[in-house]
Amino acid sequence: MAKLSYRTRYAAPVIESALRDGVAIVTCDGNETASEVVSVGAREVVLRFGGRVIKAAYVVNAGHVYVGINGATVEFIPADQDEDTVVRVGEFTPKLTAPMPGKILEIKAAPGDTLAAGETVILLEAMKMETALRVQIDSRVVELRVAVGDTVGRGQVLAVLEPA
Amino acid sequence: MATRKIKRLLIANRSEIACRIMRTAREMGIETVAVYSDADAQAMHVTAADSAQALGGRDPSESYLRGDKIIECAQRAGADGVHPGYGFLSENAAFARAVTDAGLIFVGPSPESIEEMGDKIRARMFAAKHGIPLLPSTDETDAAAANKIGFPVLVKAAAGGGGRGMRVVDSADGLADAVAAATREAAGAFGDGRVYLEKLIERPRHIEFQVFGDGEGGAIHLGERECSIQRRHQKVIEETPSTAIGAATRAAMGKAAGALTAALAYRGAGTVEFIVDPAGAFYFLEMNTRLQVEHAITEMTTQTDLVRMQLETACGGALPQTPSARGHAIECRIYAEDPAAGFMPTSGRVLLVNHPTGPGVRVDSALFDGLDMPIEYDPMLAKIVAWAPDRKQAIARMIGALESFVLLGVTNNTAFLIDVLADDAFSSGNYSTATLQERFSQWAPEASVVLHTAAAALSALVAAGRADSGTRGATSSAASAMNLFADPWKTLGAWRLGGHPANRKSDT
Repeated sequence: MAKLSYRTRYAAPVIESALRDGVAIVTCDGNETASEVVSVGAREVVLRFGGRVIKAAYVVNAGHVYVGINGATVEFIPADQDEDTVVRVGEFTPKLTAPMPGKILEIKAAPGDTLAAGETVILLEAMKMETALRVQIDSRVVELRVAVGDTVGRGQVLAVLEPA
Repeated sequence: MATRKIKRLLIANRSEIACRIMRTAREMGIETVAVYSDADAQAMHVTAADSAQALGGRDPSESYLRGDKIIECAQRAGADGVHPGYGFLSENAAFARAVTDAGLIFVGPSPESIEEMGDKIRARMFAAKHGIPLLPSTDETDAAAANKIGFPVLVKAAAGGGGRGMRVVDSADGLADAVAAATREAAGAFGDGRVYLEKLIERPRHIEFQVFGDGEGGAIHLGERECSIQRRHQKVIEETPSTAIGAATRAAMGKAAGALTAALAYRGAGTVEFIVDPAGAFYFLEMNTRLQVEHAITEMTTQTDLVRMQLETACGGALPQTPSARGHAIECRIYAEDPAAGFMPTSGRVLLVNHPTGPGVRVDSALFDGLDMPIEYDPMLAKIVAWAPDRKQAIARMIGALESFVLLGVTNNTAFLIDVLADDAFSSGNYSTATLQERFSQWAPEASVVLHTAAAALSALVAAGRADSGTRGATSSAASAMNLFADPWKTLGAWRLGGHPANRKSDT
């Protein structure tokens, strides 16, 4: 699959973004988020994110895509493929990553299992608290890369998924 | 004084302040004349005026600082009054005199008042003579003189302003070098290398009072403006009333500001600036003999139009009764600068601008889509002001206004301002002129939510065919070959124009 990449002006981790059934899945620095695309207008993309409607003003100029959200602006610049800081659009492979360092408490799915959006794959213990790591969209577990009792670092890939 | 009348007003300024002055002039039935440099041929103040005169040149020294050309333009256009705005020639006594000598009304104080207050050493002597508290200072710049007032000291330019020709000195060691450097800087910036030493107050508040005089010894004040949120001596956020002073201090400062204005037989709008130390004692700093950038917050709380009052007093009109203030107002200055890169100035073309609106929100701006930002002038792009019945609501309203402000194409400080407003130092009201340096010098945009949602928007745009696929490595055919991007109507999924998204689960 061809890479579709943009970079931003500031150093940032690799960001991957893909759209599926009207939901944009973004992974960045060990976090995965899902934003529902409500509408795409001539100057504004309306998203629903974390229960809130977000209006993203945008303009495309000389190939650069400027997106303004809540007073902040992100300028996406067409990038060479091997730039450090890239936003890869549409080549997204769903992965479950550790949002913080911790220990694997429980694994609730096996390779081949199909999970509905919101179902838990792994329970992670971090900072003396249990965190359920869930899939954002309906997914099939392709591969598990950790076992119960493993200590994992922030951003480490715990499981590879594919859209179900 | 006999009352005169201005029928046609030339505004010797540019950008938002020129537009703001024109709005009031139009309300008063006064025709407006704009002047513009070659760099400003497409500027909003040119189209907002009833007529416009070209000054030529790009650099301020070839255009907005050319008093001779401006007076020529006024005569050619048949203007009978000149409003200098702020900056440029607004505090230039020679210009005020030349305007008056040409038979035109200068909307500002007399040349004598500008001279008296423009020279910081003379202004301090004048203030001292009228019993206004001053910081310990000395015209002598040697170590003995500095020791007498006590380190740390500030080396300041007599003709100074805007932080130029200013140096902080902690001990006798660095004094001679700092004096030499400040002298050079002042000579270069103001053509006047005189400097003096002043006791440095650490973590001070910078509070100013809006005053008005009728030119015959009558004076009023319209309360204070708190201007301590500064970086490199440049104001960024102002608010009124100040959280730093109580009723007794406010009354004492207002009385001092009014007394100074009256003693000068000052005419029109002026601002008396004070330093307030952490213990609450206040000291005269300087008087600005013009309308301030941040005048709008005073207009919001006192429900006045200071430009109208300027035009009326310039024509010999009487001062109004002292208005009472109501509620709380905050101003944020939008600058073309990158707060994540040491506040480096930025430039570019305004690709998309959407100004905030709503109850209690005021925008003074001359931005429009397609404007190429000239690099020759001040980097301030716009002022956003919020008023509410109390401070907490005003902050919330200000943040909301900034969040809905869209300015794409020119990197600016909007996200920075939001973070400063939301910071404990600001919301507690317990801040000083050192706060931005102490808490925000390493500021970077809070990336997570913005980056995630912006990336989500980007993929939606690419899918909808609104943005190119991006990389040089991928052609548009590669994009169209991808399943995801094959048909935006399919891939966009659950959305409906002006309604809740359809549930597409049953479709699949």
